[in-house]
Amino acid sequence: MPEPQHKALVWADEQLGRVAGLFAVLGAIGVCVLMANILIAVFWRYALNDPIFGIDDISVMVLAVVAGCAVAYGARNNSHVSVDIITNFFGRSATRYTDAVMRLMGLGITSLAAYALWTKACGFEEACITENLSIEHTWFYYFLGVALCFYALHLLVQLLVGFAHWQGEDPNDVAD
Amino acid sequence: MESETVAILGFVALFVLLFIRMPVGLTMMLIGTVGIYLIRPVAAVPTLAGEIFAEAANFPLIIIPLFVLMGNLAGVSGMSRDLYKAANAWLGHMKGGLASATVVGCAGFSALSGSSLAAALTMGRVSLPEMQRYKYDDGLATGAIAAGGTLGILIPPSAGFVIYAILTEESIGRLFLAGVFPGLMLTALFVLAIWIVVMRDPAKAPQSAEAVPMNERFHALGSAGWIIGIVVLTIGGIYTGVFSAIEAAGIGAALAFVVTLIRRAVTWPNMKDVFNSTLRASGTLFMILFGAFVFKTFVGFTGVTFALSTWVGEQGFSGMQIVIAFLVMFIVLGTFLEGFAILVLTVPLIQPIIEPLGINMIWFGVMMVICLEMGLISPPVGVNVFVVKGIADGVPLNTIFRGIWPFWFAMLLGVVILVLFPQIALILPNTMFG
Repeated sequence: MPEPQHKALVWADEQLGRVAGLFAVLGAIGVCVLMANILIAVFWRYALNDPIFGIDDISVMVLAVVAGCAVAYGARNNSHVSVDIITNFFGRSATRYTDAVMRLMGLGITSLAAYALWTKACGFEEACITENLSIEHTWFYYFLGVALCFYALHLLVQLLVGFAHWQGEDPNDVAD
Repeated sequence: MESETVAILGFVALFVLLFIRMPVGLTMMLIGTVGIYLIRPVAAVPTLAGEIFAEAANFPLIIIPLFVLMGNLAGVSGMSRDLYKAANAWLGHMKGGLASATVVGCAGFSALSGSSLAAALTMGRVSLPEMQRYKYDDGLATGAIAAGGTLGILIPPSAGFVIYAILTEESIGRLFLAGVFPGLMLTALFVLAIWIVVMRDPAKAPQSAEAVPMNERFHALGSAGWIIGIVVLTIGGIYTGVFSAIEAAGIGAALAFVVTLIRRAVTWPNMKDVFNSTLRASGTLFMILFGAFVFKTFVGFTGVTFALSTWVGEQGFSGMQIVIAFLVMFIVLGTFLEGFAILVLTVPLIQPIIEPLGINMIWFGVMMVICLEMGLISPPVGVNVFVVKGIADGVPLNTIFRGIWPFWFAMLLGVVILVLFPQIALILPNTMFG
């Protein structure tokens, strides 16, 4: 019989679901903008014989937004590829420990990545702007930091849900 | 700690973390960052931020969400169903014809979608009920879908080629064109495999669909005209140099959207499904790339690639021997590692070894992708097999795995042919790009 979920975890999970929805909407708009940008660029180049200066800069920055949204939304939907051999050999008796370790490490690296994107934005770049339109990169670093922070929070909730169901089946596995 | 020791510990830790189900992208990001920290502490955090941003804003990667979008739109607009009907009309009446039509349908769909999972899922939903209606053997039916789906990462546009191109700094357009003839060859080998299976045991395809009159065949082909038109325009555009591969992705996606609009399939649930799937698939690839480039920087810092290439040089192996050894290694790795994981883990190590030996990286990339395709249907982690299992209720996993072996050997034969005749892969890119 499944154990009742902790109310705070259910609430946290619902909030993450809402934020993931926002990432999905923003990402979908971004994909449409990428498509439109290419159409406009090709049309202007061939039909009007007049390439648009700097349109690729806009595409690249929109891509950064799409990438961030896709990673965050993918995390929420368990789209990030993992290799599941361990369940063929061991059952929940082993995976309750290994999953906890894995999520803890995932939480660590996603948090560090978010921290890195916020604090070391443009650290190694000579010019932190796009080539033609001089769009500043910094805000896009911050956005990617937010996306990875979301991934970290998702892993934290998964970790806590795993602990809350330590004795029984892990609901995160059902989601997988 | 010496760099070589850090490298060895890094690889051991990598496999341990992969074994405990840590996502591939996160694993490489973690090992890469810790490894860089151990070798050059001040570089670790800035490298992590820099590599993530560099890949998120990498212009050629625009191709990924747009080609995935194009494939998803083809699915909801019914273009994939038309394609299967056309293949069915021409091939369905032959021995094992419905399975052959499935493979040909997958090949056609693969020309619109870079994802093997999407190809297997979309074509499987259409073709499996038809094959079951004609009492096809479950193993043959599901094996044909799982194997046909793998063509998605060989026939352009291919997500596998995009990642390979980004990792090796080769041209995406060149790789796409290099995949065309090997993709067609593999399709023919799959059809041949089906024919051999049915000739050996006719009970595996006891009934055939009735032969369709010629005018109806052309009508079915005409209905598939949209999908054929989009494929010809995008691949033809790349070949003739009218578009870059990135522009072809945008134009292909826009055309697929127009067709979806004309067919009145632009509904809220369809669009929600299309964009959610596009984001999920793109997210998978971006996360792997974020991790791969942090890991690649770490591998570069350790100097292990230089040590390996020096060792290979000292042994006096020929380029061909090295290529064959790596291909065998990919096939073995494919039995327990996911295809993209193999790609991003091995390419940074392999490229510095084989490039100085004069190996053409485009040719090698095509063979590598076919080996990854073999991994997609190899037990125990053949992802496509699990996708097919999801749509084939009541068919045991073992039956599906048994059914894929003829196709697995067809792929092996495909690799051998490409090793012997590299021009099959190289003729198109060479005539286009010189």
